[in-house]
Amino acid sequence: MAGSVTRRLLIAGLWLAGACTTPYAKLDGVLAGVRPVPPGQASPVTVVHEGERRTPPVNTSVVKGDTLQTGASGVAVLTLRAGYEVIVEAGSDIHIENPSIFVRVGKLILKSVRRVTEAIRLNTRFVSAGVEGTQFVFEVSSDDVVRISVLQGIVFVSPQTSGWPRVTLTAGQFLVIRDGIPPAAPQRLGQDVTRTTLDRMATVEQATGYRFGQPWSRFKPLWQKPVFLVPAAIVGAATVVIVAKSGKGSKAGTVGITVPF
Amino acid sequence: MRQLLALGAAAAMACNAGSSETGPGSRVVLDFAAVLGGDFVSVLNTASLSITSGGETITRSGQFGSGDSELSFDVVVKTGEATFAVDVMSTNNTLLYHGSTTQTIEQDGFAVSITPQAVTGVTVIAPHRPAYSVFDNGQIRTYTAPMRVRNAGSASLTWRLDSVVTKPAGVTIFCGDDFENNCLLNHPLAPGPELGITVGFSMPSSVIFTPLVTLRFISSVGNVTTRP
Repeated sequence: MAGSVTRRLLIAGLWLAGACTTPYAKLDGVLAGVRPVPPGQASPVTVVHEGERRTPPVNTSVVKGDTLQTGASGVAVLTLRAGYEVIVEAGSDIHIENPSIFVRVGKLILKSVRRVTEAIRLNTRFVSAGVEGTQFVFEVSSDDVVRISVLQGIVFVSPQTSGWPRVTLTAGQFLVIRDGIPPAAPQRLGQDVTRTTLDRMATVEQATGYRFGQPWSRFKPLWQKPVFLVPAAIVGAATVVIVAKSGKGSKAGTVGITVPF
Repeated sequence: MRQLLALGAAAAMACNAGSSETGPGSRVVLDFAAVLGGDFVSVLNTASLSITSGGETITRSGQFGSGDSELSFDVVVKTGEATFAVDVMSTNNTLLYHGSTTQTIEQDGFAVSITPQAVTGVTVIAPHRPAYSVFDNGQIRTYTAPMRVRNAGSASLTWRLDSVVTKPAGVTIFCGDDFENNCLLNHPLAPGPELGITVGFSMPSSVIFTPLVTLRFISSVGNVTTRP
């Protein structure tokens, strides 16, 4: 009886431990056009999780292995645990390869929103962009043309296979790579493009109610949250009681036998 | 000096008698082999220790060496109340001693001491290696060795010296006790003081023989062999 209960408690503990897995990102906003999706209306953002397609609500975790797709009018705002805000524009298809993101097609606007805890990479079929603490736009067309525009910071662009040397993009530059062919030198980013991008970010953030800093509380490890602590405390206390009652715990010692001749 | 040692041993036995309830950390080990210089052999053969705790029983066994009266087991026991029981068996698998104690085990390094009590007779022979004296009158040579037999148990037993010894033709073995009984024949022996005996070999002076042989004492509770 005690063994059965103990086994169940252990299973519960393992379940709780498994629930501690920290997500790669949080879905912090879903827009249809420039407005949040009204309740009851089909979401234009889809997440494929373990082969199952879902239209997740805001605050849903996105984990390694998930695929996120935005419809023709859908926009998703992700907050990456590494410290980035990512606006996934309409018509995008990305795959989470923690700690990198594979962009099949679409447009992403990235911005570091707090101290970056780890570098991320954006990958395509031909290009890999290493990013750390910056603000830039990453676009992949359906014919594998990649355009990277840097607003702030530095982005390092490399081919997926050898073929051309790494290119360093700094603020105010953009680079276009076609089919993995060695790119031309970085070009100057127009002021209007920069302004348009910043405006777009502000529009999306305002529409989704995105507030810097607020999402981070949701990345608090589960074991620090009441949803974990309360059942964990119950399981722990019950385990202590059962162990104490069953007298488990062994001690080593010596038994001496002396025959009284 | 020997009497003083025996007195000390007796006093120690008296103090230790019935002390199977000795608590952890107060282990008392009285090694009679040390007191007597290990100069005896007995019918002790094996000890079986069973430990019951937490609804489970584990059993360990060990073997006494020649001249040993003590065994020690390193054990792992569940915390809480534990009962330790020991059976000491003879060379012919007779139960000689039994003892048990129940103690509460709470910490590593505990020491439990069990002094089992005899349930039948126990044959003890000393010394473990006879010391022979030789006498030769030119016709007959005789080797003799004084020995002692004791029943250390709680009930009477029977015993004798086995006359079958590897020896050349013409060599005769003999055994006599303090009462001039032929101890090549069975005799009863009650618990109590040791009995003096003389073991020897006689032969024509022309026969070459040295008594470096193993003597076997046959008793109702098991056999005892001396060292050559």
